[in-house]
Amino acid sequence: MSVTTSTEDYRKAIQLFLDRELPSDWKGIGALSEDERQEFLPRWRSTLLEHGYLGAAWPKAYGGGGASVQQQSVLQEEFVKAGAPLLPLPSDLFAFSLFGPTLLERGTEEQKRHYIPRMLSAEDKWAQGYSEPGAGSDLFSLRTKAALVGDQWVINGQKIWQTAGEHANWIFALIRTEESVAGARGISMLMIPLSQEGVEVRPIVTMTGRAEFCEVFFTDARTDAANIVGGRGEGASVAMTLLGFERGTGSSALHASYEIEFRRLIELIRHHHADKDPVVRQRVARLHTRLEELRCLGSEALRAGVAGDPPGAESSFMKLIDSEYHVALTDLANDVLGMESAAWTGAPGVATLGPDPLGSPNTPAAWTHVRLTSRAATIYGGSSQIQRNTIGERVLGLPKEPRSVQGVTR
Amino acid sequence: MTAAESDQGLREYRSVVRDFVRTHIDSAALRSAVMTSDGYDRVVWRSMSSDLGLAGIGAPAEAGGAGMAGQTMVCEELGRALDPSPYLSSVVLTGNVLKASGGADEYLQSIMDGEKIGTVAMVGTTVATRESSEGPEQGQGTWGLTGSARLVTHLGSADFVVLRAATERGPTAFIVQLDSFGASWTDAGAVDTTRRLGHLYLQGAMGVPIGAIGDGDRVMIEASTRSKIALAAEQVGGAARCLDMATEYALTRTQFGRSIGSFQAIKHSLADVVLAVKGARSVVEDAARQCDASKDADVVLAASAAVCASEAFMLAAGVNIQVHGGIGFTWEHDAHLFFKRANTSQFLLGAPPTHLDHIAEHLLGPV
Repeated sequence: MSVTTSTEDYRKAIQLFLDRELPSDWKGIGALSEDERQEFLPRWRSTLLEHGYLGAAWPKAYGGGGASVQQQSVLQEEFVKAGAPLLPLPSDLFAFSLFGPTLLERGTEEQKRHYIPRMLSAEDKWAQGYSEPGAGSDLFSLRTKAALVGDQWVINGQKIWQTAGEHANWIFALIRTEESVAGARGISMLMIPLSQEGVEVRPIVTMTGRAEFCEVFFTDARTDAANIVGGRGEGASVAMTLLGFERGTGSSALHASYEIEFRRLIELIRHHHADKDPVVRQRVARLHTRLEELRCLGSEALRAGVAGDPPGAESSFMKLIDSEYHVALTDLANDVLGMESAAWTGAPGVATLGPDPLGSPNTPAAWTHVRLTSRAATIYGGSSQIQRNTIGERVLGLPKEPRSVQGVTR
Repeated sequence: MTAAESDQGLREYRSVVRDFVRTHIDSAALRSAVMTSDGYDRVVWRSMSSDLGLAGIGAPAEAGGAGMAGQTMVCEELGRALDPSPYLSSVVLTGNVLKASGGADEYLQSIMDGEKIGTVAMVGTTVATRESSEGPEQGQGTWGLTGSARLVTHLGSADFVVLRAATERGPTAFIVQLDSFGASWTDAGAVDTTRRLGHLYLQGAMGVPIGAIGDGDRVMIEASTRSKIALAAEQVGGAARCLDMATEYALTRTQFGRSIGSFQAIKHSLADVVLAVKGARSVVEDAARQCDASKDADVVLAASAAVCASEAFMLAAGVNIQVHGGIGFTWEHDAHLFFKRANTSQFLLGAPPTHLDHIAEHLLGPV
């Protein structure tokens, strides 16, 4: 896939690929049973790898597809519309959207040459180790520490909220390596293998009844001294690499996935004979206007990304608007279900977090799960309150609140 | 011209407009203008229409304008200042009806030059009767209009009013000269002193049909779709100005030993206004872009723009008062001017629930 191919040619090529490679009766990944999905995903992943769609954004020199910002946007959007996963394994999100790009930006040549191919092959499956029980919004107060002993880091502490932690065999983690240095400057980003005696991964069952997250305990866990990304004490800056990174690439896909969900909501409304209800009509129309805001702001972000404008605070807006929109949308679905929302009736949906993809069942079970996880989305990835702080401070220039000076560990 | 070049041109023109507004329609100028018998400064109005060419900005690029993109830009800048001139009534509302009717060229030209001022009666019942029998074609024969319309913007400043009247062959758009025999009006006592309102009374007043007889609904709907986008831009401007005022105050006002903007409650309220304004502006610009790209304005997109802008302006104006505390409640402070403008604007071309009804019809079919 040449980087100079026009965007529309690129889009057509993807559509042809999907048409050819997906089963002829394909109705979207949401329409498959759990067994069918388990069977389909590894095969599909190999197909993606073969055609350069896995790691499409990465430079070709590292086995990626070399896709431009615009092409990445189109790729993600077309896959969402077809209900075909672009990140088939639970750990793929962390490899391709988070750690891989970070490593490509801040890793050594040796690290890139070693780890990138293993992400592509899924020999290494990654989880993200940032939050701790005592360090959520105040992330850089984290306390998991590592000391250099000989040619290894020895790590002690605990990380929490790892998505797909049980599926991972590696974790990229923010660890306090500079003992006497408080705050951000004492932190380094280490890469730690999870399959070792000093590491215990425990699932966290959430209010959905499933274990979307895990916690990870390090007791004298070890990793090679060279498994550090960036320099010592640079972990915070490495973690922030991704802020504003190729912004806007995911916005068309996000909108496309919300559109698919919105259509499913319309069907739900009709099915429950709520389509003439004036209150439902007003609420659904209101949600449409909010989705239009998301669409238009997303397009703006993409245009700015393509133009190479310096990143602003848009990622705060988008995450905030998107997560709060989703709470409102799932609340409406819930209210249309009424008392039916009180039981896990029908087939469950597919998505662990976020909206259900194309083909998903239109059942109380599916909608209740998504509604519950929508309450997590306003918390993870920077809570709505933190996002508002960021907007107030970075966009409006309002002063930060003064920190307490009384002896809380920093 | 490439998109980037026309963007650049528009950006430059925006700063010209903004400078003009800052100089001629600042808070003091606004307050004295609204105290005059006209309710606006005629000298400033003449500068706006002829010198700056603001009245012609909405013309398509081929005709030397900047299309809807240019129109929304100007409306946003004027909205920031609560411009009291008849711009919205004449250039936007009247201009759009004349364009939609097709063939009202001389009236349209007089509007675009700023020579004449028009306005549109949005709400009212009027019946039009043929007075003479010289053929049924457009413009032939004379019509007498009887009825009334309430709360018409800038009625006192207008030379003519456009309205929709029922005829034996269906609803039709008409122009009535306000100095005609049988036409009278009274001041309505507008809450928003920056945009005067009048009640119109017609008793056999002479009307000239514009557009085909019986085509009145199509003309008014098409016009109001475009006008909604321009009004939405004006609302975004007002909302943005409220945000600026509130932020400035939050930065400078101190209580409990620090600026009040450092408190989360204030910070978060203002962040919500940022989101509402950015979101609304983004949809308005998309609607304008769509309007320029295709021939017709998208009714559903215009409705979304109207809802987002109305809610953003009401939110921003309310938060602006709240952040200012007691002084935000005084006559002397400008906060109430914006709050009142926000309120009238949200109803002028249909209230948000009405726009939402249009959207719901698109999503779920008719009731």
